[in-house]
Amino acid sequence: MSSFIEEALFWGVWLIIPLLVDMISGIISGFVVMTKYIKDRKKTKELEFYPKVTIIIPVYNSIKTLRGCVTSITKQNYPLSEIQVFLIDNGSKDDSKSAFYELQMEHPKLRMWWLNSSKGKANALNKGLYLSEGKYIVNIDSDGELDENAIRSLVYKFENNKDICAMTGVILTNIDDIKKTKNPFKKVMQKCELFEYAEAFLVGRGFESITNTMFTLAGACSAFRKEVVQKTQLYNGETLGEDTHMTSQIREFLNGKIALCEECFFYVDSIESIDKMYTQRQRWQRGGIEVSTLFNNKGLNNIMKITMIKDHTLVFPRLIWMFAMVYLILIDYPMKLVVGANLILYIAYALLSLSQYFVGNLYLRNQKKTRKYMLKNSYVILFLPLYRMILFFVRAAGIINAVDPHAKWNTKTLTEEVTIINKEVGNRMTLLNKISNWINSND
Amino acid sequence: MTIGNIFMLLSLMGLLYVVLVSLKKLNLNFFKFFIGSLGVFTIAMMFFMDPLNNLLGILITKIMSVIANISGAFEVYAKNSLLIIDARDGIISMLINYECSGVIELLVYSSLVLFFPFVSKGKKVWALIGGNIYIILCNIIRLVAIISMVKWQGIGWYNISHTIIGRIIFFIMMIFLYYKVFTKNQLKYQRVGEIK
Repeated sequence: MSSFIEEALFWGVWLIIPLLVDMISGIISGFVVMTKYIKDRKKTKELEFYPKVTIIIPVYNSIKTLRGCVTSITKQNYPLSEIQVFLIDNGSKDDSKSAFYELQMEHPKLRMWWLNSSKGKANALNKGLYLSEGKYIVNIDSDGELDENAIRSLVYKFENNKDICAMTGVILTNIDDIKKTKNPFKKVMQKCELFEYAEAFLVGRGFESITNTMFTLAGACSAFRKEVVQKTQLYNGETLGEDTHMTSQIREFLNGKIALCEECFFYVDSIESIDKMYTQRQRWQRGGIEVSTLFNNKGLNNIMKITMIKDHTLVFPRLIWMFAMVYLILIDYPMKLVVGANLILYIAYALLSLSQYFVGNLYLRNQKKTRKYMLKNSYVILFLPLYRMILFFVRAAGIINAVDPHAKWNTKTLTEEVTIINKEVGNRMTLLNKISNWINSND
Repeated sequence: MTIGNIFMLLSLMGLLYVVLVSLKKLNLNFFKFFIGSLGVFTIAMMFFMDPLNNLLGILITKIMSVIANISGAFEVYAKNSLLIIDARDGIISMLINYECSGVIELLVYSSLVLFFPFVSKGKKVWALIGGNIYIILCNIIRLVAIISMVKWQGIGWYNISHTIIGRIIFFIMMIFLYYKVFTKNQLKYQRVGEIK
């Protein structure tokens, strides 16, 4: 029995240490975020005046989503006269502009402009930054919708925290979108995504905000003080991680504080398929690596180093556990021990997710619909470790595929890769059949 | 190795080769990395673990003998791969097994390096040779750390130093290696721009 324990510890160290790192950091961040919630909850959040805000929306083939996005601006709990909206088309092939004309007719009080820019999201954002008149600039994606208190919350936090230079909103997925999904597998995946986002933003970024260690603002919804963002080198069009690059510029060059606005909610569509997730997460992974490379020459700072160790270096030791499984099976290790160790690990991660859910849930008090939906579907926490394991492999794929010299907005999807493999297997089988036929005919 | 084993080894290597050539042709980098490193590790574990373990055991024992001669803090019985530590409150012996030799860590690391897309073949060879030497050194450091703890704190420290502290020291040193070899290398040569 003692040799079992010895053996388990020998392999387990590759697993127990990352687990402890995840657990300790998870518990600490949960505790810190919860403490902040308790401290802040009684504060009244009234604005004395309403400064001008510019909202920049890069548009690319957005005909289906633009209406929802712009309508969410018109519903803001903030004077429309103080909001300026730029819709900046960067090479749409559909008739997004017609949606703009319709919206302009429907909302004559909304100060909204249609602009054209050269190809690329970064170019569109830069054009908006250059032309903006607002004291604060908010960038949002055209496929999402702002919560009605989003702009007010951002402005309130900026006005009351003069040291904050930039903020990220809380990105959550749209539950109506999940409800429409019929495929049960896809539905669970989308629910997992919602829980993942809630945890990543409300707890993960919440902690980074308090400790001023944020690696990246959400590209889908971020806000800046105009005087700060105009001192940067603007968005970098050469990297897939233009949002991370902007965050790093503010932190590195301007030594600025970057925070989370816990009450600025931005709802995006749920992921459509595992294929989309496969390309999206690989793009994020490559974006992070690219920005770390760009800032590497200027001395890799601690936040980037820690993020890279977490997102890149530790991927390899975790892969060792997969290797270990092969080894354990090869030497006829008791299945009870192998299964038991994995089960314990699974439960530990599920419990961590449960605790993070409780903390995140505190900040959802004004998002009643989402909060209720998440409570009703809290069983999804049981699937989260599995979901994360799948994402882990996608991230690992992102690391390896990032060596491709040409960055692509969309890498090959999983289905495309599997089709390629099937075709190749088919070709080889045909060759095998030909050889076998030839041998048989010679008989 | 029996003829049956040799046949099995060649068949497995042949199969892995065919799969890897296909994946390379199809430009599926991640699948090539994952299947390649897992495949090489599995084959190495099945067929080469014992001889490699013996070889490394001899090497570690030799190095430990030199350290023992210089420091006089412990004794090494090379024949039985045994380390004898004369602590202040008793004597304890330690067998150099596959954990101390670090053969598994060496195989895992080597199979990852073999298929990680380095910028040049030279870098890969350097990572392979340098990394393996580093892992052997890490093992020596781990052993020296365990011996020192037992020697100065007493044999009661053997379990904690061997089971926990030694492993944590080794783990941290390995993370440093992985950071240098995989992360640093990729960050240094990552191409940025030319978005399609």
